[in-house]
Amino acid sequence: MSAHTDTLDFNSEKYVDVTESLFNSVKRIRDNKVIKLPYFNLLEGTRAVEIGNAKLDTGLIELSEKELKFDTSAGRSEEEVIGVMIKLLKSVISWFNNSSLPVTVCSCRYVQTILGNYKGKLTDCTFVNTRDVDGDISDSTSTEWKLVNRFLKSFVLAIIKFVGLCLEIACETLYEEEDIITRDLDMNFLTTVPAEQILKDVSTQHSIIQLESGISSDGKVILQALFGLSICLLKLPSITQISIPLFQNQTSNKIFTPPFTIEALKALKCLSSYDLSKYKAPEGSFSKYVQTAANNRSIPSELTSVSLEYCLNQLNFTFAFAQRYVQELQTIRGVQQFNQYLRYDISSKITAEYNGISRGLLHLFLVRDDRSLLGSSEGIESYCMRLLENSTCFLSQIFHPETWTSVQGSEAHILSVRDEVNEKVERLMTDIVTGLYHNMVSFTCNRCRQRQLNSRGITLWETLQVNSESLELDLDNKYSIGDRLGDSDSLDDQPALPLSSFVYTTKLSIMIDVALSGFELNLYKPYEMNWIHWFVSYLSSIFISFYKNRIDQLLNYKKGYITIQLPKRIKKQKAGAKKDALKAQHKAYVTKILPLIEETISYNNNFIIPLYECLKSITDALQLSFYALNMLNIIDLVPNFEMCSTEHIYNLRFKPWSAVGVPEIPTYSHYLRTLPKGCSDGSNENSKSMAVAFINEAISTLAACKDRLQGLVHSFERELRPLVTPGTIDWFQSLSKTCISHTIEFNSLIKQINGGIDTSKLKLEFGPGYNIYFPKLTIVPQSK
Amino acid sequence: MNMSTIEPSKFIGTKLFLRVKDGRSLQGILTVIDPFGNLLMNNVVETSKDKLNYQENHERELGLVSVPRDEIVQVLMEKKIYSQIV
Repeated sequence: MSAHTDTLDFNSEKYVDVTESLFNSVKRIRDNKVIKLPYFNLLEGTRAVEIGNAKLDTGLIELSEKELKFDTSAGRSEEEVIGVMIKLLKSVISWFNNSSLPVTVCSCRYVQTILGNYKGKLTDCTFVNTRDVDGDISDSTSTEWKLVNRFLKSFVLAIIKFVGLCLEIACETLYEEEDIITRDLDMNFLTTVPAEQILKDVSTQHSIIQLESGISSDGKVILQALFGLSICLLKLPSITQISIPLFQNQTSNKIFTPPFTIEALKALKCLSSYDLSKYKAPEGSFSKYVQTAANNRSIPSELTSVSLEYCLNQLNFTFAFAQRYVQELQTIRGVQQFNQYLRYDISSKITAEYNGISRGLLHLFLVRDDRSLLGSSEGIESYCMRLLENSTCFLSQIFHPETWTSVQGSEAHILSVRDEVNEKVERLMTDIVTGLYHNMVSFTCNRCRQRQLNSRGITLWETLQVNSESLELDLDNKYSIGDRLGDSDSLDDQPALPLSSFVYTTKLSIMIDVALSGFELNLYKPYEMNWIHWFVSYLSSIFISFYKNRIDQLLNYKKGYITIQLPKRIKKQKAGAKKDALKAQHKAYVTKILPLIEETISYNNNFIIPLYECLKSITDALQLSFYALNMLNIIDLVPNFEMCSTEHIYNLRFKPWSAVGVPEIPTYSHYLRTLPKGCSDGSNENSKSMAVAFINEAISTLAACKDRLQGLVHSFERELRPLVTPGTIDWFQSLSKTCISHTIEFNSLIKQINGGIDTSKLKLEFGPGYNIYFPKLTIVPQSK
Repeated sequence: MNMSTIEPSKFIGTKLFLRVKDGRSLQGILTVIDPFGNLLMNNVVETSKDKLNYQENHERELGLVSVPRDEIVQVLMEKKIYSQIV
């Protein structure tokens, strides 16, 4: 290695040579131990770079002469400049795709030179490399010089600033390594330069490029599109500044579309219409040089890039979705619809196409720094209250101290009780808001992280349920504060527990979600799939029953209060101020509360309950089919393991739900008891005919479910359109397609059985299904 | 003074200046040493000849670095520090 000669004055008087003493001293080490700093964890040593090892030492990266001596200030042809711009765009997308900055954006010498020169001011940012003594000083009036030092520089600055903005977003909302790699070689991505300043510069270049005579007309169009795109990228984070009024009846049908999304899509369309493959970045303009020259705590890595097509598609996707979300969220009318949107239009659609930055932006767009939603006057707290008041807590006493007339005694006593109750309710509400915020945060995470957060959410909502139930029961016992399910003289005179009911249903839906999302993440073996189908069916039936009974009773009693009880009370009341006040109250309830209650009852009956009934039907049908597959020796539902018992595996699989007290989580023995005879012991001689019967039953369950789902989709489109989001309709349609796909597969299996095939030579395969929670099942010969 | 009498632990936590085979120099805090003389140093700053201008040196931070014994040509320490450990 002749490149490095002595770089430190090793003959200085200041130092003493300890080579011998150091290496002699290690002879005193006994038993092959290592001597280390007391607080240093040896495990950390595994991430050290290793000097002298070409695979682990960036100082040994070999560069060609062209890479080393690449002159960033030299003039370049229009083809080369466009080539650099395109490659830089591809690098950005590659960075979004989980590559690090050193192997993507920072590998561009133009980026590296600017960041090396930057000392805090935009004027520092030039392509002149002060370290390069052989640098070429070209004619500054030539088109080539302008193309690099004016146009390319502007574009590079815009990209650098965009990366800087993305790093800020990443710090706020994303998970390092999982969503994005923020390793930045200690470079400052123009943090002190306002984006507006760079925007102004790029906009100027964008407009004057037309006047440049030395550039071809095609070149001008492409450069303008690239400038336009860079402007839009810089404006993309401004999506988090857009305020969308939430839960307000729209007086105008005019939907706002962020202009930069339109411009970006236009620019991308323009770029796609050209053959950009002929534009090549000059040799050496992208290299590993930065890895060997900048502060670098990592090992050498190869440069990565994505294809141009993928790059343009990703950019298109990013802007199109930004546009869609801004547009669609303006049409949200009610809190339930907003919930659906979060669940079916955002959370379940976070596919692999969503790069980390898009998700980060979406999160910041939804929940702002001040915890407001979409920058509206609605915050998490008011959203929580609205959600409660639109589901179970209509006119709930717990939130209306003026109704606590049951508290009797001296005025001081009444006040003290009020303060105590208010404080307890407020504390609980703060906890519920935290739970909702937790849910809200998970919606924009990648799907793996969503499951992990939801899994944690189960424990959180379980605690909330315990707390809310004990508070509501306590208030009911001590002070008779709280809603009832019926009149005092009826059998239904029990505490309604509206707050706990809300918490309970939220918890149940998260529990079901965690169970089903395991299919999407490919977590389950076939025998575990059956556990989960069975468990989801069990949870769904509890959920449905709770809605059909308690919640329905709770809502109808409230409805009856407004339509029957209150008018009776008014009738009995003698004329006077009190009667007038009651009349006014009744009028307000009839106009404001009653429609909400009726809407909620309808929403529960036409949306929530059918959805979970369909989920139950599908999981029931799948259980039947898995019983059949077990009987046909295609899968083994009760496997035996040498190393550990199946029950242990079951308990491990059910760990996310293990902390739940209500509903009771079924044990493995429960599961075994539900298996039909012949499933657990394989003893049934008529297993084939039983299997066919099970499959036929599964097919008819799926057929009924499909009809129901299609009917629901039609009714949503016809009647409930304003209340149901596009993603929700997609969700129901995907469930319907799941039923069809499974039916086809099961019918084909019956044909094979009837044809006399040896089913033990078949196997079950899984692939992406129409719905993320239900993978496609295929039964194929084992040799395949 | 017999140099071999110094306990290896005395060197731990001190700032060392290393010259390695390819001419680069490394300065950092000695964090771990093993019986073979392999070093693990933290907060390492590498100084090498600037590849763009051989008249100048170029410095950069490498963080946690493992330096095999075979790569080490010379180890220096500031006299002041050395006098404290012997």
